[in-house]
Amino acid sequence: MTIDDFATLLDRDRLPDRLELVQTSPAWVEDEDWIRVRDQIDSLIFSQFLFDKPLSVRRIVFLEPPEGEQGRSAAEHRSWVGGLIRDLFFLTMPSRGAEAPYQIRQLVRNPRATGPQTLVSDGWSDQTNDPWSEAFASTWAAPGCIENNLTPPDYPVGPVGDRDPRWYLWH
Amino acid sequence: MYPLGVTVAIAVSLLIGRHAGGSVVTLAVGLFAALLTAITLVILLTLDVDSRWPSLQDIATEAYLIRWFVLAMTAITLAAFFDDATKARWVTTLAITLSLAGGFLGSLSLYHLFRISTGEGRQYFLGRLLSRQVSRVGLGSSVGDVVVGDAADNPDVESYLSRFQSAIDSSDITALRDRIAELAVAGNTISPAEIGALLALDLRVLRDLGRAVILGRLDSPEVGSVLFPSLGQLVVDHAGRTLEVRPTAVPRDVETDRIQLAAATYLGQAARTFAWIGAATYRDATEKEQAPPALNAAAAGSVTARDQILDAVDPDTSRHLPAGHTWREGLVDPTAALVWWWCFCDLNGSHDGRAFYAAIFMLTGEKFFGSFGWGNRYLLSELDDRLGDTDAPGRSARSLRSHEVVEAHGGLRNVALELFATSMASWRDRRRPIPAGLEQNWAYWDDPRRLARRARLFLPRTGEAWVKDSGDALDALTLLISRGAEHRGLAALVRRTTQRLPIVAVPPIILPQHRPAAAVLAVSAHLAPRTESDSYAELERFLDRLPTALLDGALLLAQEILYVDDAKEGSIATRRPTQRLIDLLTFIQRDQQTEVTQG
Repeated sequence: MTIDDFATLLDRDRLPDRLELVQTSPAWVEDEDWIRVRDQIDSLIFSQFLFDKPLSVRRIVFLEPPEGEQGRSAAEHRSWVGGLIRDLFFLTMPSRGAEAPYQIRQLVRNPRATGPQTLVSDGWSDQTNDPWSEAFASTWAAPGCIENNLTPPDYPVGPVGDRDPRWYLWH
Repeated sequence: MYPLGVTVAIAVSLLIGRHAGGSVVTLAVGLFAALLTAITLVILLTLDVDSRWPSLQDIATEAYLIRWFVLAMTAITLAAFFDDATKARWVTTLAITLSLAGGFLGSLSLYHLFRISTGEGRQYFLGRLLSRQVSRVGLGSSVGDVVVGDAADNPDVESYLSRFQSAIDSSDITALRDRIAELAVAGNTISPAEIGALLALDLRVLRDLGRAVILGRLDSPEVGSVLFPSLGQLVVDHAGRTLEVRPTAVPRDVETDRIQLAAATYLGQAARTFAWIGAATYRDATEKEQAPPALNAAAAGSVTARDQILDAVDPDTSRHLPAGHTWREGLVDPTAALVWWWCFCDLNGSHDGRAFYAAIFMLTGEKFFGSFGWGNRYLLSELDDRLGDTDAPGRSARSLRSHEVVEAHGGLRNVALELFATSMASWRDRRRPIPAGLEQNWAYWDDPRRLARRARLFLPRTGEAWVKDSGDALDALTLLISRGAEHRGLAALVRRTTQRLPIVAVPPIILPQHRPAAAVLAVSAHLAPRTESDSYAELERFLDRLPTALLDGALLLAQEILYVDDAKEGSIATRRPTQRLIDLLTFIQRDQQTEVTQG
């Protein structure tokens, strides 16, 4: 799928009630155009849930940044995945379990693999019986596709330093 | 000068070729011994040889001691090891000439030692030394357009900072004052292209001083009353020097003026640091239930320093500066104005009202006359009027450019909401009584009407809804806190501009996505009824639609920052969160104008 195919999701009127989405290409944290579309997709999904629209989202993103833990793409990856978890926290919805309306799983990459590293290619679908959806279902159930394990923020007001600026004496 | 002197001595010796007899050794040794004694005495009595700032090597270099020593030893060697019968006459003459040249250079060294041992001479010496060291630091390494790290962490300035830290440890105010004076001298001598590293040092010194006051390591009120304003002026001057590297023809109405942007970022970070010092001292004082003189002075000094920054960038006040002054026109680039504006609203800093007046002048080129809120004249509405109608005849190029820049950051409504959320996030906890001595600071005033007036800075005029209903409010909230909006907005802009400079923002720049409670309150305040007769149905609808985490967070924050009425708080404690939030948001109805009219 090209970035234009993902951009078609951004038309709010056409956002399906049921959405499966895979974003495991390094371009999602490296390419400015892809990052822009990625952000818009994130905002759109968030706002749909905030507006209480009937929606079910299952989403696969990668667990580790493509170029290791250092560098710009790693920072972009941390920011992205951390933000997704924050969105889930803001929305006060369960993110695990079959009934959760917005589920995110993270795909573990195999660094020694030479061929395609995911069973399903990047893309999105609102269908249940097309080949891509079937590949999505098997990837979703694979052991290397894990439920997100990031800790959500536990301070609902905001950063500690906002309320007690002395926090920055030591941090 | 040194090689020239030696060359002249050799040339003169060859030309004259005069034989001077056996007194040469006596002359050379005598001059050397006398000067060595004098120099040693001066060093021992006036300079700390163990010091790293300045180090003995710095002193020796500044006073030509090593050159004098080499010259004098050469003269002695020539005189001592060549015997009268065999050596050429010119060699003897050379020994005499070199001895005399050594005597001259030694006297010069002695003079320099006296000069750098005390007073202004020492200050100038250390200032120039600092300037050289900071020049070596440069602007640091970068990856793309991101500068890595903080120039103040560079080993080249470690000796200065360690001396500064030891002055803090020993509560030596005079030494601290000297270090700041050295920053000033360095600022006058360093090249404008390298001033960024010096500004990094300014900010580090400011932060370390603030930290020492808050932790009680410095208990002298002089730190706040004298050193903070000095540092404020210093940062203004140094940021002004960045403007000196401006190319002669910059199309400033067409593209972002990167030089103004850098200056605005430095000043913005300084303003944030002063705000942080003020807020942290306030918080400390509330826990101690009193403000010791040092904390009191620190809060007052921070306010004064922010005032100085504001005076420099505000085109209304800066136009009174002399012609040719770097800050004569203030900040005029729209992107620079937005960066500075966001920084000035952060961390509950003082003078945010004046900052709004200044920002409107920067963005439109015209002053806002009058007192906002009176006669339903509001700063943001007037800004919207001036920027909004791009087809109106007579629109200035600056105004059109500002319109473009504001639109690129989500439009004026989003800019206003982000500023409001940024400000509210760090408003003081109104449930704690204001410690004695801090009452007169605008940011801490107890009068609820002041709170309402401050909130109205961020709102449009009455009857002009920028957030129309609950759906519009959810849209606005999505733009503020959803992950996808992280790259837009003012805080993201400030973060990007800071990353291009050799500084690290402390406290860190917080995006609105990480301040959800303040974002909810900012949007809610737009929906909140301005008068008792207005409906709060849309506000209630909006709050009812919020997920629990957001509603609870907003209520927690509102209970701290919007608390104005003890009795009311007690009576609403049992009501549901939405109702409690609505009650707290009625603070905004405390319109000073209405109350004065009715009174």
